[in-house]
Amino acid sequence: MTIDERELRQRLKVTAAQASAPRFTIDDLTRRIRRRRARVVTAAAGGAVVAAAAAVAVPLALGNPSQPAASHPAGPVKLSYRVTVNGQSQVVPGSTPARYVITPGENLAITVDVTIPPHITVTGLWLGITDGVLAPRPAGPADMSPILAASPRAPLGPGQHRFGMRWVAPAGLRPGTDRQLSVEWAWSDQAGPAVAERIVAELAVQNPAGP
Amino acid sequence: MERWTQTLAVLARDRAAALKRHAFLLCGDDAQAEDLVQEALVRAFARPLRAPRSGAAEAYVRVIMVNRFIDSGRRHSRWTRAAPLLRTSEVTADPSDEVVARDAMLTALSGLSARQRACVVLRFYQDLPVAEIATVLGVAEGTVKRYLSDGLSRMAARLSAADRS
Repeated sequence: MTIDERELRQRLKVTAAQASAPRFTIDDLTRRIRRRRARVVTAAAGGAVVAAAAAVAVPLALGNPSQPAASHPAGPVKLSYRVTVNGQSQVVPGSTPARYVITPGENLAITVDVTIPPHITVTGLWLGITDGVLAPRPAGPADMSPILAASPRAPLGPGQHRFGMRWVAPAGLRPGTDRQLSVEWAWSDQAGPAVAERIVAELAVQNPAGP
Repeated sequence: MERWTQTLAVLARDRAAALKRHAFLLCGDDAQAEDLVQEALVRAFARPLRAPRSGAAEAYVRVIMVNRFIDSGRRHSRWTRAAPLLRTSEVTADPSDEVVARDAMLTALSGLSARQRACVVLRFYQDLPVAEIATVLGVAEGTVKRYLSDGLSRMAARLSAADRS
């Protein structure tokens, strides 16, 4: 039994036309992608040999085995955060970043409380503004512009550490876009030195057409 | 605006309907097609260093859609086997000849395995050559030809049965 290919093409086109118009909006998609990107944690082992590899950012989506594997076998050491922007404080739960609506040119007073779990010593920590790309390096992040706060050499022991900083949002930021407040941290354990980076807060310019 | 958001905006504005039609042929279900397109778009742009360039974005998203569909077909093979039974009742319930013909095609497609269905859609709806389909699915060209041959035979049998009834 055979099927006429020309007729098959025609019937497939007719059947495909049954699909209704897409219901999603670009804003919805963009938000979902930003949330997914926020879960991207980059981990790279330190050390002389690994430093070169760590300079190339390797994105790793936690919990998604289809992503490239972390070069640090144990995965990144998890820190917890409380972010305060212009008096509004939010705890950063898990991998979801806090979200703040800002206006272009706004002067932001930012405080980040970083809690380091017991038995962990963080050997370096940087906080700064990123624009969608995470690229941690043992010598400090390649992607932050500007770096707003840093503790690059003094080891930070378990407990809470507060970092205060100021940032003026660029006047040219367009509605619907955002920047991220990101943190890179370096630590050392039995597997050797390592660095990781994540987004702790999204600083979004309100889109007048959006919800 | 960041580069990836521009690429996404253009793709979603100009090509979302075409992607949805492609997904609909793969899934045979409007809601699943909607989910498949969204998930493929999110996956395509979620990895900052691997987000597609504007010229290649649509093809990249289509590849993700096909592979997601095949993966979900593996997970839900039991449901996929039951789907044709559900479709049959819709066919007999609708009085319009045109709609019956469309549903006959959906029924015929739903009788195929996920890989066979993907091959048929890519070959006869997307007009991709066999070699390109083999690249998309990560299989040999001979395997694609076998999927197409088996798939077309099954479809022909189902379509002729539907035409007789």
